Amino acid sequence: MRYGRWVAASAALAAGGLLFGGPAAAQDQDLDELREQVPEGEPGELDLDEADLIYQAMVEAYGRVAQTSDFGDGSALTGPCGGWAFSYDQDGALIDAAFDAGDEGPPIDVIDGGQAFTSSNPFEVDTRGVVAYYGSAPQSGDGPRNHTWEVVTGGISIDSGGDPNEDGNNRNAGLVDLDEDLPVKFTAKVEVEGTMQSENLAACEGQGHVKFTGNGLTDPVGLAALALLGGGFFGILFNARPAMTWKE
Amino acid sequence: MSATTVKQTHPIRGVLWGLMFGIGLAVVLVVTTVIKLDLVTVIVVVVIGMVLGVLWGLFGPAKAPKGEPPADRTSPPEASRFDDRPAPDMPQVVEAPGVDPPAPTDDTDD
Repeated sequence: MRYGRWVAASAALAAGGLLFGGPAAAQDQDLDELREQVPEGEPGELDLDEADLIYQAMVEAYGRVAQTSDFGDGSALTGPCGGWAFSYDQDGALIDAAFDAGDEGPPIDVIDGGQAFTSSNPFEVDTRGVVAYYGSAPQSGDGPRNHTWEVVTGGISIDSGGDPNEDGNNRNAGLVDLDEDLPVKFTAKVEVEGTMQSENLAACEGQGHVKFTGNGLTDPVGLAALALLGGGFFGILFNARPAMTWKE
Repeated sequence: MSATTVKQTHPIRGVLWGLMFGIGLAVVLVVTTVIKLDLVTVIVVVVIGMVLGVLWGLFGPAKAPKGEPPADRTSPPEASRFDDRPAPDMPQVVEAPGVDPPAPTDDTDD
């Protein structure tokens, strides 16, 4: 499996893609410059150079943003990984954007300047929308050779792979169409962990929270849940209830 | 002997309906983002549903017994239209005095 798939799966599954470090309390002026790098409408399939330019501009703006020592609250990434992810709804409107400069800090929410991927500020994705992503490991030099990666949520491995990466590719960009990739629409908040190990780089390990936004209880999953809940409730109430019987 | 009532509990039914209730509750809580999608959390909610089902099946208020007590059912049943009796338009067999009725024949082959 190619290195690019690790990046794509991580971004699409909403946690692995941008488990990169960054500051939290950002100054508004610098944040504005950071936000300017995020396309307002769905950017479509960005090529690598285009995505790389966005990343370089964000790193430059990020350098003037106040640093934070907040590494907790459920999101972190260690290792030589960095990148960005922009989330758009089904109409192409920007929902969320997160960025990491590849340092040891937590990821930054480009929209509000806070720490991204936390339990109280999860990265939001629309199950009918798209996520544009860019990731690098490392930013300069050879990429991870003979690497393996795994994405885990709720203690269950949901995707894994690896690749010799003989060309030494160290970056990738793309667009994940969740509307196409997720045939069943739903709403849920998940915690995702991702790891990538290679023979020539330090391991990239990260975790974060992602909120999949759908139509809530009116999605098929929600309707099925309501049917189960109602059926079970009335079953307990009327069919499992004790009964008095006659005995001679 | 007078009839008494006994309480019949349904813990197995409670487990099964509770499983259904718990799965539905867990998914509703996940979909409304009250809880996050996590295997341990979901299992805990499902188990809570099953425990509620068992408790209700064991200790819920009992339904009243159906029907009459067995003692009242010892009186002869009322005659119904399916009881053996000749139809009014059927010919009546009149036994002649001094003639024995014919012996029943065995028509079976075995």
